[in-house]
Amino acid sequence: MDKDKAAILQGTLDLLVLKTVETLGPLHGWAIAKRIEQISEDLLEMKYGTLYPALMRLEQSGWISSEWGTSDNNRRARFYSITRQGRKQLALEAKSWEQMSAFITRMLGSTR
Amino acid sequence: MSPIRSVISRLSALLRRREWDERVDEELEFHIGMEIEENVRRGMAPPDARAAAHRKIGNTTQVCEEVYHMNTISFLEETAHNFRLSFRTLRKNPGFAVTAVLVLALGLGASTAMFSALDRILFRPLPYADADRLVNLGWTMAFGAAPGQTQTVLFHRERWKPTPEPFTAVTTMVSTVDMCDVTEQQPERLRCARIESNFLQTLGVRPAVGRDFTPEDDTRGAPPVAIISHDVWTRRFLADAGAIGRTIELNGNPIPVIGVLPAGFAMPAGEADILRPQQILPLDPASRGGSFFTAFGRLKQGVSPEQARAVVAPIVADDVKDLPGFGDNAKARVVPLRDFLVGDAARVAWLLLGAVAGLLLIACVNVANLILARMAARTREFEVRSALGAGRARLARLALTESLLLAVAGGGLGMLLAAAMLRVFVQLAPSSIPEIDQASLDLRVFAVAVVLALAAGAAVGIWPTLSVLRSRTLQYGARATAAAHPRMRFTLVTVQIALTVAMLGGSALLLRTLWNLVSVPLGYQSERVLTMSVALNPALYPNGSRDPFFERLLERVRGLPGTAAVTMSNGASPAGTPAKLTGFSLDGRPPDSSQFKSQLMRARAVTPGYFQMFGIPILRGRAFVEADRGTQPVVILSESAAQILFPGQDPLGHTVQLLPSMYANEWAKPAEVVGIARGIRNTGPALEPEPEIYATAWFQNSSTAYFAIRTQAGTATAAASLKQAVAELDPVLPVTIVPADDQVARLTERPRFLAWLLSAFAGLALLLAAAGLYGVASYLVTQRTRDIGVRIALGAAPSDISRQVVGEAARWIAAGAVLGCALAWAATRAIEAQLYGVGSRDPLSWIAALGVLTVTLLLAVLRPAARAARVDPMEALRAE
Repeated sequence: MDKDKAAILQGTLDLLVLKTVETLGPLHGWAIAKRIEQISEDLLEMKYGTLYPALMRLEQSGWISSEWGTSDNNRRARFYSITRQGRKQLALEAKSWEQMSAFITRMLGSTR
Repeated sequence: MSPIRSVISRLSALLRRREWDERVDEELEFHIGMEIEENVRRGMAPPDARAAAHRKIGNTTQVCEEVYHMNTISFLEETAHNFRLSFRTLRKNPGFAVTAVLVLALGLGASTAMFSALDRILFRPLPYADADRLVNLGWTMAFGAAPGQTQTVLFHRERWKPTPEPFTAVTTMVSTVDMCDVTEQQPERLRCARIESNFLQTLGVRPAVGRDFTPEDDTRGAPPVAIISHDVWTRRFLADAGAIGRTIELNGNPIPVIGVLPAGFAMPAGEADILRPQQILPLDPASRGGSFFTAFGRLKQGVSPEQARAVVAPIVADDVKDLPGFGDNAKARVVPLRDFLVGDAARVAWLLLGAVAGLLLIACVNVANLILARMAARTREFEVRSALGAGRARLARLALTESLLLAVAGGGLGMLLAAAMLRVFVQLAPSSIPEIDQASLDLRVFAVAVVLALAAGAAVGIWPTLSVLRSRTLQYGARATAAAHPRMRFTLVTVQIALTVAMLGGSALLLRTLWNLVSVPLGYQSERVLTMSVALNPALYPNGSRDPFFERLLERVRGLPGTAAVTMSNGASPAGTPAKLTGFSLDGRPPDSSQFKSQLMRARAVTPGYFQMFGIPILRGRAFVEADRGTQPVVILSESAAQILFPGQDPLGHTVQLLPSMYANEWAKPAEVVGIARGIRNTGPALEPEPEIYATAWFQNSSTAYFAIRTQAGTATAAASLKQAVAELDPVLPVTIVPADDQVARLTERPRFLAWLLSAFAGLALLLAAAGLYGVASYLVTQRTRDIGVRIALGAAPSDISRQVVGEAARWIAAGAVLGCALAWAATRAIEAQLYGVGSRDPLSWIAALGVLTVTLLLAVLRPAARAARVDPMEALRAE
């Protein structure tokens, strides 16, 4: 594994997926993976396999929903879109993430 | 997400797990396909593109597993696995499994059957609303009631209005439930109770169909109406709601039916098929005194029966003050309804329940012991499981699962056993245990059986579970496991022996009681005598017509072929209770009310030949002769009656007269004492004879006559011809024919039942204890084969070896026996009330119990001891 690349932080994958699906509308798994990769500008090391359990977990929680559709290159694929509950959850998680990161930044700033 | 939703979504995911597994496969395939396509587009060679895609996605198996686990409730999963595993292991050891299941089934079956038999007495809610607040109230005579029974009756119902302070309602029923004959098609004899209009309301019961009585229905002279039982409704009206408004013809009068009682309703006193309003208020000024009532009240919230008693006492005193001789002897009484209904049967019930709980405990201990023995043998298996990564908690759960599986199987088989045992219990149960004949295995009993089985499973499983949790072997692989168990196993055996001692002792006491009872001379003979009782309905046979009917019947029976002798009495012969009377005028002196209490005696009307029929000796004077009937009345006194009425005198020639003011003409004539009869045990073998006064002239107004017949014909033939004789006079009159011996046997039925049952339980307990000890001793010998081999090699004699094994067992037997005696000593009160002629600490009984125990248990260890003595040192040492 590349040392410069951060391993994805436990629990943040859900947040990333929710945000991606929210902004880009119905997407299939591969597209979600590519989008996260693209945004992270290769800072993030991620095994894409782990994306799928996360998607299923989110769907079981009722935050995203999925349906069959056809991809750009005419493959059958599952498209995920965010639900109303998912939006609420995203807002909640985003807020707590901001607080957390603000706190950690302050923490690191103060001890330095 | 709410916890409940989370559980639901997990469960649904679990059920749709296959779907999710397929989906993850599809998604991964799609992803890889897209990735390869893109890699190719970027210019990679297809094989490289494929490899890169796989690298990028990571370990797909791991992803699939993650999804699999995500959709799993691991606890359920493991439990199912444990059950499958336990089932397989048990199937591989059918001997062990069958023994354990049988032993548990025995304990659980007996407990279930016993619970179901006693549930109605002890636990089941009474069929009334808020039954806790219902009480029986009134007064009870300090004398006259047989032990264990108290009568509560009220005079002057109007004195209880308005309702006294601690009650929200007081209601009554006429104490005697009358017989009433249905005189339309399908004639039958029913029981008609007469109740106050607020009776059902006070109990909190509403008619299932139709309406309740109103105060107008209950006014003297109001048109008659009836509420019928659910049973009569189903039987005679085919459960048709249109029955309301139709009539039922009782004693020749058509009575409109206005309501139907709910199914399962039972009267709080007596039994009844038909309820009628008592219609005694306003009181008839012409009637003197009052009627006897049984009264019930509903207490206000938070009022105790004792508090209510204090309020009731003055009313009661006022109630009885103008009754001659009753005043000081009547005590106010307020008791909870359940106590009133169950009476002293509750004590028997708890005793039985205790015994069966002991048996269940012994069964559990025995199975726990079996399992421990097997655990020792399975040490290796558990070590392997542990080495393969099973945590200790996991292993403990596995051990527990096995016990639960055994208990569930035992419980299932136990239910079948319970059904059979219940039938036996009900057959054998004495009639003094109320409602036992209604016991059945319903859902409620089933629920209790399930709980018992699970509890037994847990009780059995806790030991092996503990032993797994505690054992160090699993960690270090040392050979020390086996040593960890014996102490536990011996403790269990000791507990088992202790319980067995208590049960054996109890059954020895009850057997002695039974022996004492059956060997008491009753003072009369009842062999080869048949008794027949015929009850005439006073409504159909008014006063004056019953005596001639009985006389005609007597003549007919006398004329039957084979009849050697026949007599008639107004009470079941010779031990049944005819009327009890008190207040005699002796030699014309006015009755002395201070003597009323001591003068209470059985007054029995008999025809001549009675004393001869039952072999009751006439000590002085003469027996009755035919000439005594109808002329100058004469009486015969029992020994104790003679002493009470004429202390220190010769009673012959004196006269006895019943209270002239209280009884009608014939009864009240002065009668000369012509003989003294020996006293007989007329209230059962356990009690001293009650004084009895015999007369030939006191049949009047008795509605039931009891015949005693000595016949040369066989019982069945004689019974048939007796029934024929009655039918010729009245074709629908019910007749009861029983050998007099059976009546006598009923006097001892309760001790007989208890002794039989407890002995059966104790026998089973002993068997189980012996099996348990045998198991432990065998196991011990096997464990020590090597030591024994060494000692024999060093020159120990085989007899020393077996003596050591037996000695060790003896120590445990002794420990169990001491513990058991202590236990029994503490619990003697439970059994004391059931004993006769023997104290609860009767040394002989306890010595016998301990003797049987010791001999049986020592026999059980003989085989293992012999095996120890035969150990071949060479083989023992080589085996290591």
